[in-house]
Parts: sequence; C-alpha cells; structure tokens
Amino acid sequence: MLFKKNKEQSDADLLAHYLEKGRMDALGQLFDRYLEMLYGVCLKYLKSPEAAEDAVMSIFEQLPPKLKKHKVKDFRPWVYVLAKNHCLMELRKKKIIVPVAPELMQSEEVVHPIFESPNDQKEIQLQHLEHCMEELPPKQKFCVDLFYLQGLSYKEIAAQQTLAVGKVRSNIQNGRRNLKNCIEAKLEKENHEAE
Amino acid sequence: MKQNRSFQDGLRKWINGNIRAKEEAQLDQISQEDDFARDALDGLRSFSDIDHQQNIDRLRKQLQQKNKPAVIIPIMVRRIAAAILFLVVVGMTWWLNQPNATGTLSMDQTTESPTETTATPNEKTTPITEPTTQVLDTEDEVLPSPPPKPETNAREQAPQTVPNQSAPINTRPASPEVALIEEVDEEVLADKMPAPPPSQEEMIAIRSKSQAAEKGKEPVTTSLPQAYEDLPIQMISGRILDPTGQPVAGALIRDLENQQETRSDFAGNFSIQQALSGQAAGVQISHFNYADTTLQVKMDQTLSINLKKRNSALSEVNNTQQPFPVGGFSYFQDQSATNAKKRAGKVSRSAVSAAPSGTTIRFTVYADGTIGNLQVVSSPDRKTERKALKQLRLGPKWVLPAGLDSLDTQITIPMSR
Repeated sequence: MLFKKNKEQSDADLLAHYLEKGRMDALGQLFDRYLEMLYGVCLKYLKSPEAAEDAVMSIFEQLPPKLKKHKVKDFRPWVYVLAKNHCLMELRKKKIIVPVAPELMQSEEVVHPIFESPNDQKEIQLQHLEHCMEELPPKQKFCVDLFYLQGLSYKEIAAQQTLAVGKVRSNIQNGRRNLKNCIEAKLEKENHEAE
Repeated sequence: MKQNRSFQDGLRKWINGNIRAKEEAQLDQISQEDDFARDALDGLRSFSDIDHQQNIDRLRKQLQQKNKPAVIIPIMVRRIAAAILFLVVVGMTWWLNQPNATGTLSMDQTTESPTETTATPNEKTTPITEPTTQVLDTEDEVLPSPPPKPETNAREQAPQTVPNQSAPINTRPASPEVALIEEVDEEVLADKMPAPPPSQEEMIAIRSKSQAAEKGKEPVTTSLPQAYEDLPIQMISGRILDPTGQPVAGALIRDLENQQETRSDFAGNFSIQQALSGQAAGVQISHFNYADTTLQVKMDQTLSINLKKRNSALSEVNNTQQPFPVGGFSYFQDQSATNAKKRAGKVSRSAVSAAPSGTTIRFTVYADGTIGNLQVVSSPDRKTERKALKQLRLGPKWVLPAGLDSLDTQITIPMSR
C-alpha cells in the first residue's frame, strides 16, 4: 500500500518529503527516476562508462548539501544542469578541452528516414532505401531489417541472431547512419544530375 | 510530466533491449525538444555496443546501499554497541568490586565487642577473608620499595600475589599449614586452649613469611621462598585474643625495631611490616585493658597472642564489665562498612591498606546512656577523626554495666579513610 503510494508520488512530492523529513530513501527514489538519463549524460561528456558510473555516484552525493543551499522547485532540469556541470568540471580537472564534437551531435540527431521525411519525397527515398539496404554490411542489414521492418525488439533480434544486445544496438545504429548517408548521397547525386 | 515518464520508460527499454522501432522513434522525437533527453540518448548511443544494463544495475545497487543502510544499519549498530557497552560496564563494575570488596570486608564483620565476655558467640562469624587480604594488600605497597633486587624476584612475587588477591579466598586455606602458637604467658595458655583456634586462613596470614618457604610445608609457600628470602622486609601479622579467646580490638602493636605502630581491628587482626634485621624481632602489644606484652617474633612463626588482663591500669574501669552501645557494636561496623562500600569504587586497591587504621576514641559513658569526654587517642587523619566522632555522637545510646554511674571506655572505629 505504502509502496504503491510512493510510486505515484510526483518529483515535487518526493523532494518535499526528503526536504521536510530528511528521508534519504525519498531522495534515492527521486534520483533513481533519472538514473539512466544521468548516466547517459555523463557518458556523453566523459566518454567512458566507468567514469560515467563514478560521476553519477558523486552527483548523488552532492545532492544533500546542494539541495540545502538552493531552493529547488523542479528537480528534473536542475539535476540535469548539475550533472552537466559536474562532468564539465571533471573534464576541466583532467585538463581536457571539451570538443564540440560536431560529428557526434550530428550523427545522433538522426532523423528516422521512414517516419520523418516529407510525403512527396517518401517515394523516392524508399527506392533509395531499398538500394542502400543492399549495400549495407550483412549484419547491419539483418538487424535494421528485423528492427524496422519486422518490428522486433533489440532483445528479440539478439536472441534470433545469437548476438549481444549491445551488438544489435550498434549494428542498427551504424546501419541507420549508413542508410542515412547513403540516401543523402543518392539524393544529392540525383540533384546534381538534374542540374 | 507524462512525456517525461515515457522517455524514461523508453530509455530503460532501449537499455535492456526491449525497445521496438516505433518506441525508439519516439525517443528521438522527444530528444529533439529536450536537452536532457538528447544528451542522455546521445551518451548512451555513443557506446551502443556496451551492456549499459549491467552498469545501471551496479549503480542502482550502490545507491540502494547508500540509502537503505543509512537508515537500517545505524540502528542495529547502535543496539549492538549499546549491548556491548552495557556488558563491559557490568563486567568492569563486577571486576572492580571483587578485589575491593574483599579489601574492605574487615569493616563488614560482625564480631562482638572485644571485651564482652557475656554470651558472645564464638568467632565463627568472623569472616575468614580478612587476614589474608590484609597481608596481601600491604605487600602490594611494600614490595616495590625494597632496595634493588634482581628482576626475577619481582616476577616471582607477582604471580604469587595476584592469584591470592583475586582467587576465592576459600581455596587458600586448604593446605595443612601448621601454626606454631607461642604462648605469651603461661597462665594464659590454659585459658586460651579452649578458645577456638584461628582458622587456617588466619594462620597463613599470621605466618611471617621469610622462612616459611624453606620449610616447604605447603605448595603455596614453597613457591614463595626465593621471592621473599632475599627481601629485607617481612610482615608480622597476627591476631590478638583475650583470655577467653575473644578478639581484642584496638590493641596497639609496636614494632620495637623501627618503632612502627598499628592497631588491631575488630577481629583482633593486625599486620605490621618490619625490616629484617636479624632472626628475631620484638613486638610490643598494649591495650588499656590488658597488660603490656612484649614478645620476640621469630622467623616463620605464627602469632596468636593472648593478652592477660591488666589489673591496675585504670582504676575506674571495671575490668570484667564494659559498656556497650544499644544494638551492639555492630552499629559502628555497619556504618563503616557502608562508608567503605561507597568509597570502594574510588579508592584504589592499595589505598585500602592492610593495617587497621581506625580512629580510637576514649570517652565516658554515663548512666543515662549518653557519652561525654570524647578524646581521640589515635586517628589516621583529621577527616576520619571527625567522621568517627560524628558517628559516635549520632550513634545509639550506651548501656552501662549495672551499678555504675559512669565509666570510661575506648572504642576503635574502623573507618579506614
């Protein structure tokens, strides 16, 4: 009963519960909601799973004193900024100049071709897609096919192909990127030819 | 908020591999409007072939350990710590009380008035512990002081004295120690014989130890010899009895060699330390009720000294009858015992010294039971003296022997400190 109630609590409820009664478990529960996201953010900046883990832990340890100092109303954006700053501080300590990493930013702003393209180009894109699919390395092709066209999950694909989930994920990711590049290249070529 | 949740749910699926194409597309859609979501997704995707689930699980475990134990374990630890502390305190109190209790037992005893001749139960009630502990306690103080000895001596003594102090006293007297009883007076001898001989424990305490070992009569003493043989100090302990075998309290025992003095306690026991100057030492025993007695203490002798009644010392004193407080002398003993117990925790063991260091007060008892003419004969210090006087004044009324208007008497209140 109590557990259910807690689950339904909003971030603000949990935060208030912690601030008023000093309940560490409430804070832990709140932090847990953003654990994956924070881990991802740290991973992005620190570029090492181990460093990201450590960073997440030390961010959690910073919470009590910082929550005392600042009146935090909305936990989500606040903890995001805290995590980001922490990672940047870590990098500064190591004297690593943070590259703006244009490729990374670009590559991950992947537009899923099938869902995102305007309607009039969709026909052409699908044609290109079929061609590009054939050009993909076999593993990436399988994975992309199963994921996007057969609608399987990573795990299901992994089980079918006897691959690790991570491998499937990276195959799909790389396949997607390759497809995107391939289609863009073909579109550009078409445009050139048209000119 | 809803979007928020769905992104987190999607991300979890992405990490554990249960995500499908549509859901991943949703993740991408959300991440376009939300920096937090985009950074998170970017970060995870930049290591897409790593098993993030494992890392997340580990993180979650660490966090739970950080949170839950912080609530649960401290209470457990506190309870356990409290329990241990309690046991330690109880143990310490018990341990500390053990030796002190024996050391102060002399105050507890229920011997009757030393000179009371009427209907005094035989001294069965005398605690047997007293003499032994007294002697040993004094040794504690004395032994370190002698001129430099080879270390071995000190070491041999140590194991000897320690067990005696802490071990139950009853184990000690088991040995068939034979006490030589030197008669002080031929006349007294006859009187003394019917009196119950001092118990074994007392004998051991009484024995002057320097040569006891050489005799090798008992296991305990055989281990003593080397330790004591070379020491220039010996203990003379003994017990003073009146012709009827009742203990004599407050008798002055003077060591004629170095003029040291001590007084016998309620059970008639005394001990005095003496430098070993030869084979024999002279000891003078005096009490206002008895004739002065001087005797030679030879090595390895157990003294049980019977005093002869002094006939003409104090003319006013009716030698056969003494006044006594209502309720008996035990009042003073009880009082001192209570006081002694109160101090037991504070005073170190050596402080509860061997020699009966009571306050001896002379005073007159009048027919109405009041007392007057208080006069301190001897006392260890002013404070004790004041206490003893107070105790006497606040004490019970006294009962004079029939047919007397007033009577001088003397009492030693064994308030050690």
